[in-house]
Amino acid sequence: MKRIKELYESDKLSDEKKEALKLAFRQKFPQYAEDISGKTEDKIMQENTIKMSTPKAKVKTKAFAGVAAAALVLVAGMAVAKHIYTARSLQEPAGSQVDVGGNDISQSDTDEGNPMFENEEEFTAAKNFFCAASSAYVDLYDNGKNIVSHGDIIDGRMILISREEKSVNSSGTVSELEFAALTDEYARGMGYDAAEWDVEIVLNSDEEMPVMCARVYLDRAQGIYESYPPEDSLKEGNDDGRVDLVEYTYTNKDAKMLFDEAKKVFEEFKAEGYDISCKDVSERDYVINPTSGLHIDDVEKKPANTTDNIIDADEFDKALYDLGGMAYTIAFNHPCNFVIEFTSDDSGYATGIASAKVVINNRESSEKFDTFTWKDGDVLDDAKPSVPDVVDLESYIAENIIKSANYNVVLCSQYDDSVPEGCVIESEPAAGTPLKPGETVTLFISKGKQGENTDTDELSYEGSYTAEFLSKLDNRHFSAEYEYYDSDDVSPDGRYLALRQSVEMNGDITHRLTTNYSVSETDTWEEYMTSTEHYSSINGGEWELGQLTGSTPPYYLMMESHFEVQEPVFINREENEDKVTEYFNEGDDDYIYTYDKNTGNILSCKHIWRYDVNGKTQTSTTERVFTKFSEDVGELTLPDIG
Amino acid sequence: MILTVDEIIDRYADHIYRAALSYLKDTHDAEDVVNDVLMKYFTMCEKLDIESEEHLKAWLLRTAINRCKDILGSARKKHETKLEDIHDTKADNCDTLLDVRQAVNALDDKYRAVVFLYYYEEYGTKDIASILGLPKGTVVSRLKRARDMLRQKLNGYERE
Repeated sequence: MKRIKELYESDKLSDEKKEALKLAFRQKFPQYAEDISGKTEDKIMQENTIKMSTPKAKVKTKAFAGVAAAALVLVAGMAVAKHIYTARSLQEPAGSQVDVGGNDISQSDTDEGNPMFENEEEFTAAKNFFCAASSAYVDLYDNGKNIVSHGDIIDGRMILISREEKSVNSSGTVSELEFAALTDEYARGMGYDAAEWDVEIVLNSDEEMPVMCARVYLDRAQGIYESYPPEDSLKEGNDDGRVDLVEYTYTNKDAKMLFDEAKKVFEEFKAEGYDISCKDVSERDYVINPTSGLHIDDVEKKPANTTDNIIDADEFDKALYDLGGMAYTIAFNHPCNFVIEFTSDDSGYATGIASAKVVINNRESSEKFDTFTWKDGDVLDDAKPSVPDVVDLESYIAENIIKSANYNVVLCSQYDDSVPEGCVIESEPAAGTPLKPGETVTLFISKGKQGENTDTDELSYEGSYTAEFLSKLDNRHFSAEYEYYDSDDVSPDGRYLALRQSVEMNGDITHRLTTNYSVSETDTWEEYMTSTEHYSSINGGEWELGQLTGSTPPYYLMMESHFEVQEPVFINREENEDKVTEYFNEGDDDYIYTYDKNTGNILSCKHIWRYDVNGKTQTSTTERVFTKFSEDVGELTLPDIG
Repeated sequence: MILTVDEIIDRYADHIYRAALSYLKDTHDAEDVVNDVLMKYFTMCEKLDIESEEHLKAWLLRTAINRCKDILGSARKKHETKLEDIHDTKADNCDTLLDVRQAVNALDDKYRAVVFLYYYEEYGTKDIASILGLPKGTVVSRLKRARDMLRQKLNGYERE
């Protein structure tokens, strides 16, 4: 097919035409005639810096210089960290000032012209915490230690806890807590106390420089924060242009890890001759106080060794916590708790681990809303994974999580008073439900509160003919132009499928266009560019698919048949009490139609198609479910196009 | 990110033109589309909040294709540009390319748009779905059918 590329390559605007265009547009838009490419070049150069710089190598050079004295290590570390964040910043203003600490971060970005932040204090704090975390990483790296990251976020709570946690792992690795302690040391040296800021350090262990950014929250409940580097500048490498924010999700596998850890601790204690008391052990919640947000209520660090040869709840917790594994991760990720259940003898001493539960609480109310349990004797069966919990997550994050679990995703939109717009209200099947890979998970995405915007009108497409719908548009002062195209697409039962029309609507659309049956899917390109929503309907026996496209006027409503069925071959028919299911095949495409046996209404259409990707056959599935039906109002009459 | 007049014309005018030509099969209409798209860009570029050149290119192509649909719709005419019209102006230098052009132009416009974006612009099916405002499955099936049709028409060239 390279000939096709050659073909298009040969099509070019002539140089004369281009020059004429330039001349015309320079005159019409003189503000864009000047060379403003400096911004772009700066950005490209900065991006090159990121790619070409090798922080570790530079770190070593700096750190060797800093071995002589601890104070010098601090300064050197800060200088290196400064270098790293400079490399990550897209717009480091020229002429930034260096303070006595060798740190030029506090002033530079407060200059006018830097559009990266709105809240100066929080942005500067984020920048300093980023610097501190980078310094800590640099310091640890040069001492040959790697961070063992269980979470990917070091938050203020961990930093404060780390002030009391002095354990050092001699195995060449350091826990997140030790990393937090060193970060805290650097931050306080720079005048930033984690107790005064709602801060979190985002790590990405896959990166060469794992300190991704630091965030300082203005309003955690609303998710409002300043980030350094600004997260817009971290988009590199993400093909959809968005930053994949770290979110915690748990599965039964995590519960198994927790179970294994508890079992390991239990067996180690038993091997050393200890008895484990079940008193107060049945439920140990690591509850993080949501009001202060800065300490853990009942994680008291007691030595594991006991004077009475009996391990109590706190001591067992301590040992679990010291493993630095799943229990540790859960303990530091509000609103998650865990529960270890023991089997016990008549004397009240544990004889084994009965189960381990990961308990996820509602972020707002702290009510439990999901639990993953692993019981003794359970067998991990990858063939029966469960639906990940993505409730409350933003739709694109949720979609990625579901897809990464090898499920297909269908997005549906609906109003919801409590879930913010763009976030997942619920999934079908629900989180935790065992589901085979390749099956479809429907995510219900909140459109926000209904009627919240008084300018928003509802254009209902409830079973009306296209002409009626267009009439509704006209009534709302949209100018609509449209054209019908013929097609030879027909449905399996011979019905005409291919009505297609293009409608241009010049009004400033704040309306949402809905159908009276389920919205099948939503494709989002870029929020600021274009969103496309699909609406399916049955009109007097016709299938139609409407797509509203464009984020700025003019908008386009494309309506066409969705199923491009051509000469399908009937394969099979199944009947039960209520439904009839018919199977058709057309080459690489399979179509499965389900009808209501009594009314004849079509209930769902499943389209499965196969295609080649690098010689391997891939399969995709789209299923559309219809829940309401219009009356058959006779033959469809096309509006006069005029 | 805002580009200057010269930058955007030097970098993207040909892309817009090719997209329009592939859709409309008419060189004059395609030139009009370039003009329209540039006009739209400079009129609203401050509001677009486009951050990368890839996004800008996608926006320009999408706007161009929407404009093509608009032209087809508002003119209410079926553009059936004779192959000779384009061929006369392009003077393809080999029979093979001519055959390919004929085969591509013979495709329905919905297939041509997909072929252009996939084979020339080298977008993935997901991106094409976003640019054209179609479900990914539709893009995949159109691409597959377009390939089948091209293979049929270009029997003997398919490995090229």
